[in-house]
Parts: sequence; C-alpha cells; structure tokens
Amino acid sequence: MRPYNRYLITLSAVLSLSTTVLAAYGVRQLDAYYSAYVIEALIVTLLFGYLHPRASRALNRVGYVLVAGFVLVVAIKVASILGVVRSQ
Amino acid sequence: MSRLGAYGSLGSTLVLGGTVFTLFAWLVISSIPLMALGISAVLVGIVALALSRSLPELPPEASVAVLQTGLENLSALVEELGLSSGALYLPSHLAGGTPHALIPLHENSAHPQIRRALPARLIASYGPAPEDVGLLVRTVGTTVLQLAQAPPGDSSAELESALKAALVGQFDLADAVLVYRDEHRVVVEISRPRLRERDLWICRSLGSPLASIVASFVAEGLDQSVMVYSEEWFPGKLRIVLEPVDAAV
Repeated sequence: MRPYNRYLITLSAVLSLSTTVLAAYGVRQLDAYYSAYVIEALIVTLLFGYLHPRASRALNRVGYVLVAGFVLVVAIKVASILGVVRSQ
Repeated sequence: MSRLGAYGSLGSTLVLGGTVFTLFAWLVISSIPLMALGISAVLVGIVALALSRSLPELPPEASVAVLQTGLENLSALVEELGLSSGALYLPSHLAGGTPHALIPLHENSAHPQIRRALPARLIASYGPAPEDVGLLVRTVGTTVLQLAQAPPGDSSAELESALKAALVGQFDLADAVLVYRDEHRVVVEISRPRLRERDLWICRSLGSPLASIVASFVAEGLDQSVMVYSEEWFPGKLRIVLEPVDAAV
C-alpha cells in the first residue's frame, strides 16, 4: 500500500506547511485556513490520480464534502459582505 | 494488525484526536492557528478512513500464491517441451479477443509473422509451414490488462500513463514507470520493481512477470506484436526493451 502511504504523507506535509505559513503571516480567519486545506487536498488528490479506482472514488466523495464546506464558507463570507450576517 | 485495520485505526485516532485538539484550542487557548491544525488532522483522518474502505479485498499474499502456482505450472509444461524461444506478445485482435503470448515450438532467427488472427487455443498454427506451430498462452499481462482501468494508447505518454495506473496505482508493483521510444524499439524503465520472479524456465520465453505485463500493454497499445528484446536489472530499477514486430493481417 505504498501509494496510499505516500498520499497520506504528502497530504499531511502540505497541510502542516500551509498551517505554519499562514500562522507565520498572522492569519486569524479560520475560513482562510479551511479554504487553503480544501484547495490543497484537491490538488494532491489530482496528483495521485493513478491510485486504485476504488480509492479514487472514495477520495472523490471526500472531495465533494470538502467542496460543499468550501461553498458554505464562501456563502457565509458573501452574506457577511452583504450584511445578511454579522462579520466576525 | 492488518493493513485495513492500520488505516482505520490511524483515521479514527486522527479524527478523534483532531476534534479534541480543535475544541481545546478553541475553548481553552483561543488560538485560531491551533484550531486550524486540529481541523487539518481531522481532514487527514477522514481521508485515511476513506482509504481504509478501499483496500483490495484479496490479501497480497493470496495473489502471490495464485500467481506463483500458475507460473510454475506453465513453466513445467514449457520446460517439458524444451522450449526456450522468445515469445511473441500478440494484441487482442490477433489472438481471439484477448492479448496472448505465442511461444514458437521451433527456434529460428526469424520472428514469426502473424498474418491472421489466431484461434484462442493452446496449440496454434501461425503460418503455412508445418513447423509454424506454437503455444498460445495467457500471461500475467493478459490478466492485468483486462483489469486495467482503461486500454493503453499508442503514444509513449499514453503507454506510460496506462502502465503507471496499473503497475503503480492499481497493483502497487513499482514506484514509477517511464516509457520512451526510439526508431525501432520501446524502452520502459520501472523504478523500484517489487515483482522479482525471474528464475523460472518460462521467464526464458516470456521474460519476467513485469516484462510480460509491459509487453502485453505495449502490444495492445501499438496494436502490434512485440517481443521482449532485453531485460536489465539495476539496483532499484528494471529496464525493459521491446521490439515491435511487423505484422500484416
């Protein structure tokens, strides 16, 4: 299962790196972190497109959930800009 | 602990630990970066759980046992017949719908010229002369090709993509695959190959199982018969050179 291990290690390294960089730049918005995580997860999944079809399908399902969360974050952001909800 | 259990345990631990850490970072120390770190751990945990549900149902050891048995039986048959001539890998349209390998019964310097689709039988006549008879066998490559996600194309990039999907992604037999072509030959380099069986008699004809898989893919991709021209093992690398054989149907 080396490809799966490589995938997990790459994803963990990328997410840790982005957390460190964003924290170092003083980012204090949780939605910014989440957005970065979703984009990175999708890119890493795309790079590992040769995984077993069953694994690819499972990762795609995780991707749909992450994108749904991302859309929710964007929707809340838009709503806060429009003044529908109070910005934090 | 099985590998399925390992990924499941890792995923559960990360999801649980990440959730607790996120709540702690939020409620106790009010740190957004640490909350984000916890969320990233949950994300990796969810991915690990997803992967744990997509592991192959057949344990690798069982696959090896089946492969070894099949190869040894075929090897015994070929050894009894005293065959050691190089096999010709045929694309599916020349071998009854599935790619096969033809082992000529007579050794001579000329490559067999297959001019018509051969019937899918063990002993097949491939030419007009009485000695144009050979064994038409299914190989490891036949099965791998049938299980592949998509049929290979004829360009180097398409062959590389198909071989990488099969050898690296689907079967975990190597770390990387590189394909390039010169005027007459196709060269395939496999990094860190993990299927090293090459001492059986049958390997004199078919090449190693990895060479067999590669030859079947290349034959199918080019839609042309190919032979394993050479196979060189280096530390951490296998270099297979294939030679397409002109065939007119």
